[in-house]
Amino acid sequence: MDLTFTFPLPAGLHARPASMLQKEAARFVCSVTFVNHSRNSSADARSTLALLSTLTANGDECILRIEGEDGQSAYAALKEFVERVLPHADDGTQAVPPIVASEAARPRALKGAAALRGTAVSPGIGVGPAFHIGGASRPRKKQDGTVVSPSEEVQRFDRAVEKVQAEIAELLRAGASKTSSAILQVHRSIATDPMLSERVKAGITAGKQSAEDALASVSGDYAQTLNGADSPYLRERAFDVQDVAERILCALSGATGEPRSASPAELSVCIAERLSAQELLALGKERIAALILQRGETTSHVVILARALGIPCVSGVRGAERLLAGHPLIVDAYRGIIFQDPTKEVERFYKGEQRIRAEQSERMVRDAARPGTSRDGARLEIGANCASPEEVRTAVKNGAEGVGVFRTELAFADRENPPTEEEHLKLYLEVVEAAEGRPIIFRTFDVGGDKPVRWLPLPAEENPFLGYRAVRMYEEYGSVIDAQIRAILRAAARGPVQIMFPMVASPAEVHQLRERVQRCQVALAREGINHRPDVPVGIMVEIPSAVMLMDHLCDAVDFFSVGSNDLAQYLAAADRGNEKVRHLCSGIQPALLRSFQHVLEEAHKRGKWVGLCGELAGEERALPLLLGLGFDELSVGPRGIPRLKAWLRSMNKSECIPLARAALQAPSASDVERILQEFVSQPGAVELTESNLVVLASKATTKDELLRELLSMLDDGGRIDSVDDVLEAVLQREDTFSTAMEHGMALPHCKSAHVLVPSIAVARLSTTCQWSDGEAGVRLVLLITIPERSAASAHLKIIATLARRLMHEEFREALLQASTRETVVELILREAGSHAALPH
Amino acid sequence: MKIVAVTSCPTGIAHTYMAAEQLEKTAKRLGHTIKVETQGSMGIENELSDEDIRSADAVIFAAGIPVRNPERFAGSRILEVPVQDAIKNPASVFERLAR
Repeated sequence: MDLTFTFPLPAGLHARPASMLQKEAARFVCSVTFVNHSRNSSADARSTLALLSTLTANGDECILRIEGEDGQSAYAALKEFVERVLPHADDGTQAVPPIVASEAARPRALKGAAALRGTAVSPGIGVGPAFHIGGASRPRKKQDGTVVSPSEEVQRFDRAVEKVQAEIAELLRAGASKTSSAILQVHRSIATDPMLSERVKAGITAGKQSAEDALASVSGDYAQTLNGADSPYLRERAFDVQDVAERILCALSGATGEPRSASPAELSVCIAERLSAQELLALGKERIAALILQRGETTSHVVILARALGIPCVSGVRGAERLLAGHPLIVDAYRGIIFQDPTKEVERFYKGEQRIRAEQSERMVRDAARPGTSRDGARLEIGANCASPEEVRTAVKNGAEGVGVFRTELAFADRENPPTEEEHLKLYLEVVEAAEGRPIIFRTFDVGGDKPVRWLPLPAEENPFLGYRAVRMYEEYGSVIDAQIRAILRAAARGPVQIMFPMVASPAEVHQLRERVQRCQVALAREGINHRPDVPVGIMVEIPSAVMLMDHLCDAVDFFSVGSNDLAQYLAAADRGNEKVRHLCSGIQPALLRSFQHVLEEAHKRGKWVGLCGELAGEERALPLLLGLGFDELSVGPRGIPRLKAWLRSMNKSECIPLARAALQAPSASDVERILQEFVSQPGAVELTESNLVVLASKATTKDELLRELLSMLDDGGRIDSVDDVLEAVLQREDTFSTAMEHGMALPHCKSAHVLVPSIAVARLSTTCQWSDGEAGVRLVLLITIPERSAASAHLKIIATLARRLMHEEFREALLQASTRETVVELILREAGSHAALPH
Repeated sequence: MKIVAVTSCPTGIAHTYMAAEQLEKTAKRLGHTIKVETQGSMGIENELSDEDIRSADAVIFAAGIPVRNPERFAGSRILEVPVQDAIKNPASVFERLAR
């Protein structure tokens, strides 16, 4: 039996999907062969390594050839896997793209200083003495090179693999994080790969090789094959094979425990030709100031792990082996540069850089405590979409005011059986604790259809998006859902918890669901189990029929959360996963905006709260629209919160309401796009400056440092997209002639394509700083940044007036004497703005 | 004296207007009348007419980049100074004009 399909993953058939397919195929006795027609390659599906070696890329035509006694059931299971699990294998796993720093972006202050270059793959700055890991080459050959007997060599190999397996199991038991455990599992599936073992053993018996030689030659073959892949992501899997082979070789040599030399004694910059994820875990992150790898990897598991652990890392660093042990190093893993024995200037640059970055994160924490508010004081809660307690903690740190939606189905995705009530409760209590008193909306299972889970085997459907999913299957799987509802009611006794149901199409469904909640509540009361009886009940609004029946739904529901992704595709009858029709699903299409408006109007008329939790909520460009429409809350990914809040603080709701009105009248998404663009370039929409762009007593000691400090503030609010590029533009302008003036003021400025919104940032210095050689010190600096193609003449007019006003001593004095950041903003906007309106 | 002036600078964002303000302010203090045309990022503003130019006793170019439409000033007495001089020391610009 042949199962034909087109390979669906953009990163190709890499380690994780390969090991998933391997696991699925290994459940059956029959043979399963993976054939890639596009590349003329094939593999036994029981071997992860063989699957990797097919070099399968996105869009390749593939066949699973199934032959043998349980072929029928294998076919059914694999069909299900290929259609419904495989396409989602990478969902939510590539959240952090590799950062490739260009050399051109190196700031002037660092040019000319001798440095090693590489690729910044895990951002941060690390300072410390150089420490080489495992300088001596590791054993590759058996010491005496002899082969005692083939059967003995085979046994040695089996024992070594067993040992590696045990080591990995030990690391897994030691409480690995989600990221590291996924990596360790991939390594385990390579170590225990049946094809690897078969080929090594063939080398031993037929080729009369030692276990070491056979393994080296087989793993070398695999690495070479993978190196020929088109996808760089797949090419880097060769590193995984090498890492696992090294580990087995170490076990063969009889080395115990960790293969490399001990951890550094003090906080150090660790340097290695390459490092496996296990070795990094074993080193202990508290002693690693930064990591330098000679091998050029950007998506390898050690890199992914470094990012997860927050260790700055630069890879592909040629000549790193010549860095002198114990000498001081500065590793800039934002820009991909490394300095040994740094000069005074470089040291000063990074001292400033570390201060600026530290203050930037302090600002983030400070602002995290401020509620989401527009410039003119309108409230818009900013919540977070989460699926784990860790994400909730990140969200709280970043300033989430609540958990707008906790996606329970993702938390239990990897299981074989549905979670029990106690398992639910354990997770929810952890979430309640992580949220530190903030409200949490638990969304009940949204499974089935396009979101299959192992623990609920549902038959494949013609139209999964329109099928048997979410609340539609709650009746049939009553006990699974009741366990969840009971746990939510119990968790609600310990914190502000709400319950939300997905995919509701009609009031009748809500009545059924409320009855179910009621039954659970009565049962809990009868059993004498502590719970909260009156948990608020809400629904997702993601089906057009729910939009049309809002008046009835309001009678039965306490709150609403609009799911813009699904609503957009149901409204347009277009699958957003389908490249050819995706454009119809725009989040700003007028039909969707009118749906929002209807939902908001009906709900607000009856005093009900409405949030938005689709991707649209996190799109900065859409914010004025969503603010103007009148949502009560936007729920976004935890990392997007600080920028969204900053962006919100710089706009006026009073200006956004007419904008929303205009957008609702537009005939198409592209018209809405144009209206939005025009809006942002008006003054008053996004203010030229705000209190977060003012520093009253900067500690900067040089022009360069001061400019970087001001630019970091512009960067916080999403007003520029590259600090280094805008800095260079400002310095180029300074090159023509200095903008410093006699009276202790400087007015640096630039036009740059890296500026998104016209902005003014202001700094007063605690001690005067010399602007450039031979010039008097400055105490007051106004940095003006303008987009390259600015048609925003009203903004320019205010800036022109500001420039004129600055020629008057009383205005400068007022700026110098202002006691708060808000007063400075007012002086600039009010004074310059009102004078701009006057004829001169 | 009756003076006309043109100011400009590389980006046209700030110095054009700072120089204009300084020239206007200082002229007033010294008892001159002045009209300043700015050639900045918003284009030409407060444009000098042929009549303005003809009736002026002197012309000041405080320009960081070449002045646009220079043919208008053919035959006029023109003092060219760097734009930053007009900002830093406008009085000296007028002194040079008197010489």
